Amino acid sequence: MRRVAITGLGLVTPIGAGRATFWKNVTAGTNGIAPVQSFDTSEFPVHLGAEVRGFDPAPFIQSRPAESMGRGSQLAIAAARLAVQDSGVDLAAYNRRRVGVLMGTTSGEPGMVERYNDIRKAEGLDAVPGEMMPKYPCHVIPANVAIEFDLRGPCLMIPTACAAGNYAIGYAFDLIRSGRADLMLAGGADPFSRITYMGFARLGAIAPEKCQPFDRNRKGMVPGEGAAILVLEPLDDAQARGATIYAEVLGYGVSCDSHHMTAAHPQGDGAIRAMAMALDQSGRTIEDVGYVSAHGTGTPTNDRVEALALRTLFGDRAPRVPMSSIKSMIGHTMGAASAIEAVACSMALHTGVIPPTINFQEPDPDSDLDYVPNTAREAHPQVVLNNAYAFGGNNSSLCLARPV
Amino acid sequence: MEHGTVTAEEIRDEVKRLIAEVTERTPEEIGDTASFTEELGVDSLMAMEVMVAVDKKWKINIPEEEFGQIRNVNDTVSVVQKHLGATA
Repeated sequence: MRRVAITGLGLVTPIGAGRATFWKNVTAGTNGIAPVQSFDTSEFPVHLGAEVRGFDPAPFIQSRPAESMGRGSQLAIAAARLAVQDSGVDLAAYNRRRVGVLMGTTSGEPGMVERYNDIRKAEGLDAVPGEMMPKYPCHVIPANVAIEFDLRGPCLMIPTACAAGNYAIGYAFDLIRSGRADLMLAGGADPFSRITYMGFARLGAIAPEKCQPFDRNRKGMVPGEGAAILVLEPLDDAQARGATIYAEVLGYGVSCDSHHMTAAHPQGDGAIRAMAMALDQSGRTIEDVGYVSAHGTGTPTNDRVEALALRTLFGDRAPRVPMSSIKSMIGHTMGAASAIEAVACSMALHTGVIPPTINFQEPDPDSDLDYVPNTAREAHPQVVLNNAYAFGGNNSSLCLARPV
Repeated sequence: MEHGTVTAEEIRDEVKRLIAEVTERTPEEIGDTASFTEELGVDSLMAMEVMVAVDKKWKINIPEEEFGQIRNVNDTVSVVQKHLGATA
């Protein structure tokens, strides 16, 4: 089995585009949450969102007109272009049949569904253009990335919702490790949309004033948008070309609670198994883990169960393992979330700094752990876990390490 | 493109055109020393748009850290020239 390195990080988030700006802002505790601008929220009881504002996809998309695809694909291509540039790989030097793209999402291209539905409602069925079919299904996102960069290897979308980015990185790791691919772009993308907002608003899950994961007074999550792509390649190839190796992928674990469509297992059964599986495959133990990137949505239930899962698996060590949620700053970017968090984990390993959980004011006596409150910390983790959970009871944990 | 034939003025004109485009101004409004972030309101997304456009135009690859240090048109011209020189 080949070892797998992460050598390129590209992303577009509510707190900035590009690895360097994102990292500066996320370690400074920058808030990217504000009243929604892209549509009218006056009929909702809540108004906050984490949008990527002022995004002009045109400079990033060179193969076709940007408006020929949805915002999910536009964000994905922008992230992919920044990742490829960051990695310094020369795609022309690769056998394109062995270069692929693997992505995660929650909602695919909801903006396209909304657009065609608006047309049908306003002008009738005959006004809906025939181009609709290849615009909205979620698999078009990696396909658009593949066309943009002429990638002819595996091209997959894993739509396991809010845990999907980890699934994509995990499977890309498998493809490289097993020799089925030589280079993979892996990550996630999700655009802001009325339908997603309505869904979470109707669940009563959206926070009214701020996102404050793990705080005693947390009141919910905040929908967000964005995309992140990581460049994965064999570690020896990365070393041979003198690449910056941000992190090594050691392993991953995925599980299903098989309990409820939206509620987490009350004892965190699947979350515990995913972390244990990731550590087991990685040949590491809880003693090695120096940072956990939490799913940390800010909903009362998620955060309580997540803390319980850490406590159950890590035992007495749990309060000594820093675990933060960058969703406090960028909201819940859905299928992009765990990919963006994987970028944060890679940078934590690369720079030694771990990002904070902002808006943390009052510890919750039920789940009082070290959430890196409000200020980034120099911690020099050697091994990190990136946790992500999703509707459907999908759980995923990715284990990354500082390259040695 | 033959790198040796690119003049500083050509780079300057193209950079001003790109900055004007992302900030919705005319190239004439972009001063050589006007601060991108403070005077022209360039955010990280606009900066990345300009970076990929510059990289594509001259077939260079300016690392993000280096691009992040750029404050104005004059800086951009110097960095582009440096990278053109390195690949020439």
